[in-house]
Amino acid sequence: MNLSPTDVLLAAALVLVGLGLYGLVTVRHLIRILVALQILTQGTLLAVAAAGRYSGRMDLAQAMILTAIVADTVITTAGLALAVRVWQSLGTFDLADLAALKG
Amino acid sequence: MATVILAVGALLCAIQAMRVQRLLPAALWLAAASAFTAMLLYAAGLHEAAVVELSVGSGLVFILLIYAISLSGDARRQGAPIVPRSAALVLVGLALLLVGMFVWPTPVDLGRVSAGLLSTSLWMDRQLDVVVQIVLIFSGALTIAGLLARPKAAAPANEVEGAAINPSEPTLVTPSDTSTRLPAPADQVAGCDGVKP
Repeated sequence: MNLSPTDVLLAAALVLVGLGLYGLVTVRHLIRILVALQILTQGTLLAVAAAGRYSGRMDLAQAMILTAIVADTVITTAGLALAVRVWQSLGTFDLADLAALKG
Repeated sequence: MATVILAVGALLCAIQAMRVQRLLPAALWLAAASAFTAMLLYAAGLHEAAVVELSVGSGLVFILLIYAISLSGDARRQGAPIVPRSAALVLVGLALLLVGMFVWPTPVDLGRVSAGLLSTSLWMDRQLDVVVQIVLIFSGALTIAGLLARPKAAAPANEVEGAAINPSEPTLVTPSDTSTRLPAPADQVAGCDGVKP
């Protein structure tokens, strides 16, 4: 079996996406959820890079990766701010404890 | 061969980031996984994206994680997962199968590199992306300002427990200040002994 570097990139992307999805579904800690989201995003970036190499549109892939990195960073920042606020008011990072919140 | 080594390194670091109990080592493993991802992008020929991933993904996000951990403490993993692990594995397997069905017809590696420049593609063809990035960066900066803002100081205990409470002003209860109580409802404050006037 002869794998090209692009195939390796795609395989790593799929494994990272699977790992991030598994973390998102199973983890209850708010900061760990963001760690899982980061891993999922890294897999997505590698998948876009592999798609760019497959199609020969590396410039387009780079532009999309830049946008994805910016969006992911902002989402992570907002999530961290929210997690810290939750900890300051409830004293916990556990997702299950947030079910008791009433608006 | 180098791509395989980098990919294995990224996967091992990502697995460790999910496995370790404490948050600080998890953040360190995540930064290492992000650095390996940046090296993979560089090896794939996406040099500008690799630099941004290394500086933003591995640098800025790591610093933000460390800052959040320093504010809140390095808590260990808590409780059992809400979704059972077996069900989660089935869900992830189904998702990957779905993605694989989309990806499977793709692998026809053209083996050529586009002659287009990133600057041309980003500033000419993807102008909406640039606008979205600007808006996102501004909102991110505002979010960081919210994260860094100190919470309003809690009122002194005698003022909170006495009758001079203004119910319209919310009181922030922090875990380190267990003596602070939430303001009583307005009807109880007015009666002082829980008796309605």
